[in-house]
Amino acid sequence: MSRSQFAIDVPDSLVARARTGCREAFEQIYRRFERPVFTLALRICGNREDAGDVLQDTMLKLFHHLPDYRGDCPFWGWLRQIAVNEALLRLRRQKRLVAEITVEEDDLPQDQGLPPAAAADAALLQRALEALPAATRSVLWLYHAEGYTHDEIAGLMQRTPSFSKSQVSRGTRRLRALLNIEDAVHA
Amino acid sequence: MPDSRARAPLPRDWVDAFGNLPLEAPPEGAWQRIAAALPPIHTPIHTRARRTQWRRPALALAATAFFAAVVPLLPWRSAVDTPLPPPHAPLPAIATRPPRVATPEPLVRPAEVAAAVAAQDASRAARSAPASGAPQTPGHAMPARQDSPAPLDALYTESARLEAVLAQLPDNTVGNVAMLAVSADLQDQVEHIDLALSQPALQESTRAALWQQRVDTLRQLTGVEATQRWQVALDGTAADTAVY
Repeated sequence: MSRSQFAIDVPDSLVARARTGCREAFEQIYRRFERPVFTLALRICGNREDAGDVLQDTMLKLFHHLPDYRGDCPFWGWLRQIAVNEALLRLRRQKRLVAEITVEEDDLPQDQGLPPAAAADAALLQRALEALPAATRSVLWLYHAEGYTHDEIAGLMQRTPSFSKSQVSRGTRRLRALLNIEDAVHA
Repeated sequence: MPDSRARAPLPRDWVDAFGNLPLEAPPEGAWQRIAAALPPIHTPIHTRARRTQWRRPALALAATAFFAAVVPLLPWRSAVDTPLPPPHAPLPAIATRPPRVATPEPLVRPAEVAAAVAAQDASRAARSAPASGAPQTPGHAMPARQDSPAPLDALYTESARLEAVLAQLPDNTVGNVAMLAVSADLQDQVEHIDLALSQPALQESTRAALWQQRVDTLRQLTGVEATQRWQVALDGTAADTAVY
């Protein structure tokens, strides 16, 4: 199991200083997490402009909600929840969260074996991810990259665990098909 | 921009493949944008929320006055234009496309909106108060309904159905100022509930209460949004209340 790119330990003293409104401490936290937040937002939203807005909204929300942080979970996990919520909220406002792979479109064979060789090429994998519907891509990213469970994804997306399971299954098959095409093109 | 053409060793599984993707850098000036939006230095965090509190009672009053004037007309109009669905109509499955709803029930009740806004004021005031030493739970931050919570699966389904109905409504950037404000406030409430739901180690009863609150708020939001579209379609938009 790979560790989330968010999993960055932050000293309690730094968080405590930021909670008092110290701008320098907050900027230090920002610098540690700007890339993980932006990357997560980019994977979910699918474009850099929205990802930049999500980064800004997440960090402003973090600043204003720091007094609510109770310290009973890792700071990075708490911040990641805010970032995921902001990214999904953006999709919801843009009415893109209803875009998913439906059972009618699910005509691909079961996903088995190692990922295709093209999955090792970052550009090809990113392009294939961008070709997926927004909700499917979000579920895949939360499940495979961030390590959320189906129950947790269901909670984040206000759907059922079955929805998460079906989107992981269908999305992974679609991703494999897209990468297999890339493999053939680049062979 | 990372060297995205680089090929990593063949991934062992999808977790490995996703984990090998490089981190992306945000655009130049991202911190400056954020820093510019932060409150002035030397402002204690616990006083920030109080600045905006004056708007909430005003919004509640405006909403109450608006709905007191408009809502009594709604049942007559909706009865003429679009019959309401039967009260116990079966819910569509999540993945199916929901029917297009012109005037979904329930209609927004001014008392509910005002109460919801007032409740949010109270919760924000509680959150913005100086630390008392007692940890706050999402349940404390957002008071939930007292009646017994519905099973979570039914709430998930209803929540998804309402989200789908909202997504089906046409985009609308023009409308009555008061309704747009109420709509924005309800969306804000949903955001806060989502944040509370994302807290780890929630008790089941708290989670269920939050989900019930989410569904209730989405119902109100659906009513407001649909009524807004319906008003624009029926009456046109008065220039003095338009927002662009």
